[in-house]
This record gives sequence, C-alpha cells and structure tokens, in this order.
Amino acid sequence: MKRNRKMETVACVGLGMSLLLTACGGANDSEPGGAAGSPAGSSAAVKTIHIYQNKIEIDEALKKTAEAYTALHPNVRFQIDSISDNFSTGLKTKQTAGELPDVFTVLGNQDLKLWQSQLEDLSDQPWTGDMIDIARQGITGDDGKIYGLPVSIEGYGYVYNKQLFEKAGIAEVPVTLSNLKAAVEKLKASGTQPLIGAYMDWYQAGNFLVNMGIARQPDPQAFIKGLYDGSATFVGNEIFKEVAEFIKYDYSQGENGLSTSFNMQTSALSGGTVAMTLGGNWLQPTFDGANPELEAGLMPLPINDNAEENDKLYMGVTGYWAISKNSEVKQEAKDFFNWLVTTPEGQAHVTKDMKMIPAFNSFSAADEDIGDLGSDLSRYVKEGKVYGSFNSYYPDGVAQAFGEAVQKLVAGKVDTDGFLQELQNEWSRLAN
Amino acid sequence: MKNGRLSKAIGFVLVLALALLFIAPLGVLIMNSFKPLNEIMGDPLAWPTEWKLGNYSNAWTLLDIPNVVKNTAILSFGAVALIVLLASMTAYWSERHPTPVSRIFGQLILLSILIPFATIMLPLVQVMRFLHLNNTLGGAILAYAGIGLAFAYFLIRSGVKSLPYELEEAAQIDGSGQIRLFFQIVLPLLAPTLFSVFIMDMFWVWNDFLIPMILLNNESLSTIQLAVNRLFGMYSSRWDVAMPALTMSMLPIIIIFVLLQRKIVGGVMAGAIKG
Amino acid sequence: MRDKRLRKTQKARLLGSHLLFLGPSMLIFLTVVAIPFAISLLYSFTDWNGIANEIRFVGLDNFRDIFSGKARFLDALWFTLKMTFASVFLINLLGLLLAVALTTRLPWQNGFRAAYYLPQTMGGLILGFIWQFIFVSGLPAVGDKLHLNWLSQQWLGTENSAFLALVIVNVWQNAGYVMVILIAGLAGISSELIESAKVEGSSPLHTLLRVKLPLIVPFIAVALFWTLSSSLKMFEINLALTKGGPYGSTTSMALNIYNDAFANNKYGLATAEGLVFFVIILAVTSVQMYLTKRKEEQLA
Repeated sequence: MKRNRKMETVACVGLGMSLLLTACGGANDSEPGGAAGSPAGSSAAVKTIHIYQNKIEIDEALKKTAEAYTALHPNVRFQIDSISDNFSTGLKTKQTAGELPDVFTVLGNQDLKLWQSQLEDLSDQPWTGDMIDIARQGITGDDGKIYGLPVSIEGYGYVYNKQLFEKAGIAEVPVTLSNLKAAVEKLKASGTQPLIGAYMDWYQAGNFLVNMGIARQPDPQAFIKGLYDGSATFVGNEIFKEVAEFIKYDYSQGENGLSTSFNMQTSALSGGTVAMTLGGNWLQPTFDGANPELEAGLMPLPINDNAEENDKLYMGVTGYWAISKNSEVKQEAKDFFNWLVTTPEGQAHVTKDMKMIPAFNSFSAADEDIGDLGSDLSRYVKEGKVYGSFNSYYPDGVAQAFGEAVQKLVAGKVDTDGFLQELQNEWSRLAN
Repeated sequence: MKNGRLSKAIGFVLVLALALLFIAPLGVLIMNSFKPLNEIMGDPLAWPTEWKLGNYSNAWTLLDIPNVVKNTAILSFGAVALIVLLASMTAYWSERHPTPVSRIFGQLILLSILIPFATIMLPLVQVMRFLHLNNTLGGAILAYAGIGLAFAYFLIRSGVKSLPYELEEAAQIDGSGQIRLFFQIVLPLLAPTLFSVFIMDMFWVWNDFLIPMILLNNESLSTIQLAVNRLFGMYSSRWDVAMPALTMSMLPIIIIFVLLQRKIVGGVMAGAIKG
Repeated sequence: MRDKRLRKTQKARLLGSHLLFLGPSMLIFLTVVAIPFAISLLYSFTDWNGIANEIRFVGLDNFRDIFSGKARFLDALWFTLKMTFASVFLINLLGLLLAVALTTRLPWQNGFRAAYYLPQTMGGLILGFIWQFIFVSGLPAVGDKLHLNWLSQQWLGTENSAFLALVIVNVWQNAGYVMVILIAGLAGISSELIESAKVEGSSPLHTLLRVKLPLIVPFIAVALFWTLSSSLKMFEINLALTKGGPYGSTTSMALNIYNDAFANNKYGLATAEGLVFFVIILAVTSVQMYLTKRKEEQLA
C-alpha cells in the first residue's frame, strides 16, 4: 500500500514535470487554427490574419468570405473570432498579454481615442477617399489620420413582422405615438403579443434607447460637447422626457422585459410570437438563418405625435476594422481590406453574404441582396429620413451605466425625472 | 423506540427530498439538452418528445471538445502535481528546519489566501508577458502553482506536524540525504493529506475560469470553462446549443466523482481534520 | 580540524537543501503573487486605462474616489457584505444540519453525501449559467404548474429576488463542503463520550448542542473561514447568473473591480479597489479567526 502510494505520487510529479516542459515548449508553436491542410507546392510562408470582431451575425458569412479570399491567395489564411459578450474584455486582456489580434473592431470616436496608440495608420489606402462622411468622421484620429475600415452602415428602429401586422389589420406603419398605441391594441386583439423588450442586458438600452434622446436634440454634436464641458445636461430636457415615457410604454407592452435577453428577444421575433421589437438591420442574417419565411421590416420609434419628427430611423457606422500596428501581417490585412471594398468579388461578399450596407459612396447594396431590413433602411437613408447614432461618443463605461439607468426606470425604481438625473450623474461620473 | 423509528423515517424522507432538490438542476439540464430549442423554451419541465442527439454533436464541434478537454487535463494535472510537490517541500522543510526566512515565507503564503484574484489579475499578465510565458499552458501552470501554494501549504503543514521525529534521527544516523528522505519516506507518509490536496486542487483548476481567460488568449489553448463562456457569448439563450455544451463540460468531473466519491469525500474530510 | 570541515560541508549541504526545498516555491510565489501584488500597488496611484503607453500618476485620487462614493465601490461593498452575511449563515446552518443528519447511520448515507457534495465539483461559471436557465425559465414553469406566483416572478429582474437568487446558488454550491468538514469533525468524536452522555439521560438534541458542537468548534472555525473568504470573493456565479444586474444592484466587489478594469477602462481605479478589497477581506477574516480562537480556548 505504501509503495503504491509513493509510486502514485512520483508518477504524478513526473507526469507533471514532463507535461510542464512539453506545455511550455509545445504550446508556443501551436498554430492558431486556420483552414486545414496547407497547399502542397506552396513555397511562400503561410500568413494567418487573426480577425477579432463583434458582429456575431456575420460570423458564418465572414468565414465564407475568408475562404474565398484564401482560394485566391493560398498563402493567406484567417482565424476569425466573433464575440459579442465580453468582447472588449477579451480584447483588453489580449492587449495586456501582448497578443492583440491583427484585425479587430473599434467603435470609432471614444473607442478610437482608447485604441489609437495601437493602430496602424491607414490614411494612404485606396478606399479612404470613398468613405461616406459620417464614416470618415468616426475613425479620424486627433492627428487627422484614418485608422480603420468602416464595416457597414447600420440602422435601427422597431423591427416588425409584416405578416402579423397584416393579420391585425394594420395598414400603415405608425409614425405617431397615438398610432403606435392603436396598433398595439389591434395586435393584442388579434391574439399577438405586440412587443418584447430585452431589458435584461444593458447593451441595447444603453446604446440605442438613450441615443434616441441625443439624436433628436436640435444639435446633437453641440449637446454632446456640452455634456462633456458641463454646459448641457439631461435634467429637465423635454426630448429626453418623451423618450423616457416611450421606454416605459415599450416595456409595459412586453412581458418580463427584465428577464429577457437579446437572443430571447430575437428568437421571439423570428419565431413569429411577437410583432415588434427594438432592432436593426444587423438582424437580417439571424432571421434568414432562423426563419427564412419571415417578412420583416424596419419602422420608426415614435415618441410623440409629430409625424415628421418621428418618421426616421437611427443610423450610423457602428464599427470599424482596425489593424494593429504591431501586427506581422499588416500588409496582408490591408490587401484583404482593399479586396473587400474595392473589387467586385469582395463587394459582393459584403453585400450578398454579410448583408451589410457599405459605408462607401462608390458601391451600394442591392435590395434583393441585403434583405427586407436593409432595404427599408436604405430607403430611409436615401430619403434623408435618418437620425444619427451617437453612442460612440459616450465616455467609457457610460453605455452600461445608461443601460442600468433604463433598467431602473422600467423597474419603477426611479421616475422620469429621476431617470434623467441618473443619466446626468453617470455621465459626470465616468466622463472625468 | 417507535418514536425513534418515526423520527428517523421522517428524517430520511427530508434528506431524500432535499437531495433530489439538490440534484434537480442538473437533471433539468441534462433532460433539456436533448430537446430542440422551441421545446426547451416552451416547456422546460417536460420530458423530451424526441431525443435530438444532433444537439450534442453540434455542441461537440462548436466547443472543440477533444482539444479543450485535452488542454484542461494537461493544465489540471500539471498544475496540481506541481502544487503538491512544491507545497509539500515547503511545508516539510519549514516545519522541520525552521529559519526566520521560512517562517516569514510561511506567513506570507498564508496571507496570500486572502488576496482576491482581481487584484493581481492584470499585473500577472504583464509579468507572464515579460517572461514570455503568456499564452502557454506552462505559464498558466506556474500561475496556478503560485496561487495554489497557499491552500496546499496550509493543509500539508498540519500533516507534517504529525510526522514522527524518529524519522529525522534515523536519516541523520543513516547519512541518507535529505532528498532521499523526503521522497522515499516523508512523501509516502503524507500520502493521505497529499491525496486530499490533490483532489481539491484538481476540482479547483479544472473548473477555474479567470486564469485561463487572462493567460490563455490563443483559442487553441482554451479550457472547458473558456470554451463554454465563449459559446455563451455567441449563443446565449441558444439553450439547445448551450445545454449539451454545459452537460459535456460537467461530465468528466461528475463521472470521476461518482466513481470515486467515497475516496474523494474521504479525502476532503481528511483534509478538514488536518486543517 | 576534520570536525570543522565536516561542519562546513554539513552547513553547505544544509544551505543547499534550504535552496532546494524552499527555492522553487519562493521563486514561483514571488513571480506569480508577490510581484503582481506590488505592481498593482503601483498602478493604484495612476489613472492608467489599461492600454495607453503613457501612465500618469494621480496620487491618492483613486482612493479618494473609492471612499467618496464616486466609484461604485461602496455599493459593491455593501452588497457583498449583505450577501456574505446571508450566505455564510445559511451555508453553515444547512451544512451543519446535513452533517448531523448524515452521521446518524441513515440508509444510502454515502449516496446522500455525494449528492450534496456534487455542486462543489462544478465550476462557478457553469453553475451560474445553469441556474440562470432555472430562474428565468425553470422556476416560472414550476410556478405556473403549481399556481405558486412567487415561483413565477421575474427572479433576475428585481433587486431583492436577484439577491435571493445569488444566495440560493451560493448555498447550493457550498453547503456540501461545510457538510463534509463537519462530518469529519463529528465522526472524530469518540463514541464513549456520546454513550456517557446518553447514560446521563441527555436527549439527542441536548447531546448535539452541549456535547458535540463544542467538540467540533475547530472544524466550525475552518468552515467559517472558508465560506467567509469565498463569499467575499464571489465572482463567477455573479458574472454568469446576474452579470451584476438588474441595474448593477447585484455587483459584488470582485465583479465591480472587473468592470472598472475592463468595461470602464479605469485600470488604475480597479487596482486601487483591489487593494482596498484585500484589506477588507483581511480585516473580516482576522476578526472571525480571533473570535473563533477565543471560543476554542473557552471550550478547551
């Protein structure tokens, strides 16, 4: 018995030591997974571009696009990670570990300020002149240089189920609050749950709902500047009061909003159990995958009875792909970007596969390619009926704080005035 | 006597009910992991109408199970072996040949039990990076060794205290080196305590999340916990994917536990006695 | 002459052995624990955001923010203390009851012990996710079937129920551990003592309270120590179950530090919070150890 135990321990120790050594040595040269099987006769070294991006909806399409690129350039492979939860945490730990991915998502504006020191200057790239204005604004650093490739134009409003609207006898999309309430009643009468709100996560509430208030200010940029220098405030702002009331209404017509997460919300809509929910054109790939029969559309978020003011969607460039300036595959990454947005094949992948609306002047997406949500958004953009999206200007951490303030509002912990005070407090706290 | 019997019966029923309640969450998980998504959301408590094994193969691929289990195993066995070795060496030597240095070191080690990981998280990454050990399983093993030293030292030290002094004298007379003494005599005598430490630290490392998250950035080095977390980042509320994933990640531990439960619980108890 | 040389080589040997036995662990401990701790001390005086290449010293600003309530630290502290207090009490109570029940020679005793210990064997993150499903979908389904409205509430949607949910999961995970520790203690009580108590006419309850409990105080002390420090440090269950919600009301200190470091890019603040956190844990557990030591001495 004694001998056995001793052997056990020695064996354990021996095993441990050898594992330690192999792990130290072995793991260092483990190649991050890419396409299997290297081309036999290739003499060029294989380069792998590590892309770490936060649009999980395009994960499959992006991988397919990457494979197409590799077919054209066999010595370039890709490792693609699409993460939504803990995206920035993962990114920061990678940064501290010195393992910043070659290509990663930067949100622009405030996020750009955070990462600028680590990014490659892309001002000399062929596509920079072609960006639409708001795209350029967001990714131009304080030194005037361009630091990223705009991924797509995205917009949001209410995503709604056309078939359920028809069933309830709603002929026109409501653009006033009263019409919205009437539509909600019709939906309920036809046996459909009208709304669902994903209030369990702070993300949508903090980024999109609160943005509604900022975007509808007479001069949003001035307002934001004012918030930063202390001359503007949320407290007492009439527009924000309307937004608050709207949010409360939206929550009240859904069920268990505070226990509903983003994916639950999406599946409820794609599954046809709910008629409307806050969402944007980025959901198209998800819907196509879950329920191709679904006929969905984007409609405005009316917060009062002024039809003209309400009949708009909120639009912005919500992400840029930046290249780490210490990346060993900088040139390959730049080439990939060029291919993606300046060649017909690349552009086709962007619009047809990833269903994104390009943030460039020279090419656009055909309606049939990007689906119902995208085409609704394009229409609104063409007609100039859009508000901007300003969450990329928030101080770090404010989106989460705002989201939590919204949660307090809908839970009844604060009233509308208290909500505005919360927004102000959190901004001041985190903007220092 | 009858009263005694009755109260025992009641006690038994209560214990049984509570035990079932304790295992219920796991049962619910496993049961639901076989259902398609709409059934899971529709009626979480219903028995599956069809057994969708596809859920499992899907999760298997998404989680990259073979690789991930391999990584976790290497990490766990390596780390725990190292911890046991280092802690027993330290505990034994500090007890038998105390010096001011070893006394202070011992105190520092015990103090470190209280350091929350969040405090040293990022500096640890920086140190590892400096040593070029970040993103390696070896680096993570060293990290576990440093952090797990405290608890193991604590347990083993009391075990050492109960070793007979005659050993020492026998060795001195014999002229055998300290090393031989340690490996051939002391360690085997400490075996029960070492086993407790082994068991408890295995559970700790196997189930740990934060250290792999900050030290193992390369996806091919992911551990089970990391893979599950990443899956939830992408597929949260896709319970038809998440549940098989959770079940498979729990399975190795549960199987081992069920097979060895007597020994394991005994080991933990022994550890408690010594502690 | 020979003696001196012998002593010299013996001394050298001893020194060599010191290095061998203590060296590696000291080195690793230094590298992995001590140095990072010292580094975090340095960072706590800066406003580093975790990424930029320049670091700015801001003196005691971070600490001032912590104690003035500007950082969310005090809220997290209050929540953590509340949760720890509730958890430690319940975990130890349940653990004690289970330990007592499972040392009375019930049938299937080992099976029960295993069942109660099982949650301990699983990772906090996984537990959190499982229970998230249970609280969001499982319990409401049960509540609907049994018409018990309180089961069907939005558990994770209100402050108090989310708090309760965390405590429940914490107890579920850790009661088994306390149970095992206390079983070890109870099993070690000599049967003669129990017999003599019985002979003196003591009822089972009386025996438990007056005889058994005092004898296992050292074990209770260990259980208290571990449950106290682990509840104070709770992170993974928190992250997986509530993510700190609703509206940040269930954010433990560990989660708060994590958020400040990674979500708010205030790494300097986060390390300062980490240090204060450490001091608090040190203080609380020291008090607990002192009190239980005194109790041990009283009963000895």
